[in-house]
Amino acid sequence: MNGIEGLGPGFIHRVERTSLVAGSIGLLMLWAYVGPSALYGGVAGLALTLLNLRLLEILFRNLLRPEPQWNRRVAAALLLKLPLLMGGAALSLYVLRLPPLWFSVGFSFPLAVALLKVLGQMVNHRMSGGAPDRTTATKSVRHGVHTVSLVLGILGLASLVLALGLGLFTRATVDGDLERWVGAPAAVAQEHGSDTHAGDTHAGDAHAADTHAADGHAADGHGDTHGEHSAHPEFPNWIHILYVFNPDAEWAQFLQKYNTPIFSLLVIAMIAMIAMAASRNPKMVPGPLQNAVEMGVEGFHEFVSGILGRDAKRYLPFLGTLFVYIWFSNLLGLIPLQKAPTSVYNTTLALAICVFAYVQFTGLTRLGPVKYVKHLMGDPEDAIGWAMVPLLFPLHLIGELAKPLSLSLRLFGNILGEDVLLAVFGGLGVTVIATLMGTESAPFGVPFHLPFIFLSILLGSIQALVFTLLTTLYFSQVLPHEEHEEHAATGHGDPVGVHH
Amino acid sequence: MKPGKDSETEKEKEERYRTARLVGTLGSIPLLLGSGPMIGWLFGRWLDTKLGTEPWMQFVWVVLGFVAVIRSIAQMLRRAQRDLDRM
Repeated sequence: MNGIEGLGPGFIHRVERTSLVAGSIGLLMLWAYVGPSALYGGVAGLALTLLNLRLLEILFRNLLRPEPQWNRRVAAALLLKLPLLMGGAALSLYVLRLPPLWFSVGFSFPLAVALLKVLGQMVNHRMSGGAPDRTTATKSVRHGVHTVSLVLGILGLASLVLALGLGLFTRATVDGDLERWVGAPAAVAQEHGSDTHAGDTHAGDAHAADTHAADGHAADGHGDTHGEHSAHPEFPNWIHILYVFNPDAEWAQFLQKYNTPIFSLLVIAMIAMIAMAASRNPKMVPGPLQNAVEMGVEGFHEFVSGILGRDAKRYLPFLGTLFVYIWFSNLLGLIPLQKAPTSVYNTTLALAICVFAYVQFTGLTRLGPVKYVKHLMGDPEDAIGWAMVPLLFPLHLIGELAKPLSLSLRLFGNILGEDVLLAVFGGLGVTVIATLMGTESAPFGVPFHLPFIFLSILLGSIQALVFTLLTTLYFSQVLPHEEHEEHAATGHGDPVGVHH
Repeated sequence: MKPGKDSETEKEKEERYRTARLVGTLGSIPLLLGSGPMIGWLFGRWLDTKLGTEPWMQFVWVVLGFVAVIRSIAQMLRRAQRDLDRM
């Protein structure tokens, strides 16, 4: 590959710099929204990770060069790296008892920055046709990409908060755990007056409930969805509104209970209608809808066949459905009064379980039962290989299970984080107006969350693509290896050839 | 590598998506790194309650989980490398 430029020590340095600036802004926001204990946790995490990056930079600068240099700094960096990390984490979490959630957020922040920088650089590289180009257009694109990366970094912070705050598996436990982890609810309205103790880790439940109610009240038009089920700010959806107005009606309770599947059905209906409209009356010279859908399918086919080769056609329907469903679900949350089904862990877990089951089924049928089990055992060939089976088998099993887990957590964390971020900024807009008017609440707000909507569109699309991409890679791992495949193909042809 | 009449455009197409694949693969590493120990811990905890060995199984399985994901990440990186080498 002709390479993405600048992925060296200089890159780490830039990540450090960006993380410091963006992280400081994020920490100030944390301080304002959550309280001092969150700030201390975040500062400790960020400081530790920046120190770690600094040591990494020293190692990279000295070792990754034509003639690696070995000096005292390198040795010190190598020796210090792990104890410093472990010691720092132990000191922060066990001795100083800083909130683990905010510590983790601070600690992982530069990772998000680094990832986004790489992404930005790759996009940039693509757009400039692979050659270093210094025209005004590329400069502005570069500038734009960096700005977007920065804002996405802050967005990533929010999603990390939620992904890490998982008490796992149901919304109720997530909510409960979030409060416990954070130490105090992320109160939107707690920015003036007696809020100094809002972030106190020992804030009692009663107090937590108090600030929460105040929060909901202040963010009247927007964030008043906390009610019984939600510890995080969220824009209201129509089902919840119906429920709030008819709390005793059975149908409203039913809707409220099954709100996520209902929104999922809505997404499915939308996709089905578009698909039917696009394919009902296919023409040689397609109309705009047919054209768009065909282009989408074609592009997606190319994308998948790059990984699965001649198997692409077989798995395209599943992968395409996955992509379209997740994409629409993510975007549904941006439409007022709707909710993204993917912001609930049950949905993403269900998707991941489907992927897991289908991948394993594919492995079983394509490899055959014997080869499949052998594959799970790490393909032992000699006595040593067989001796390693008791160790490799559980390892392989965990590896297989970890993939759907990380898939579902990533999607859920990102989409929920994005929704919460939108609601928090929306609520902030209302709070500002309320403060200016000197009242408890305001009838309207400054749309602070507007820029984040555009970013959410981008992020929602990226997440849908990433989920599908990783699923595709996951498929490619269980399919017979290429060497075998080519061999087999020369032997008796291939029934599912997909070449144009 | 895919054969084809107009292999030039095929190659270009493939190259276009290769970057996306690479970013996706590498981007999945941090969470995967966390998921393995989590699975291990859950399994270990379950074993602990079954066998009454608290807290040893948890510890052992978290480590195993970590090793497992390192292994699968190494595998992923090998794949990514092969993908790059084909360019």
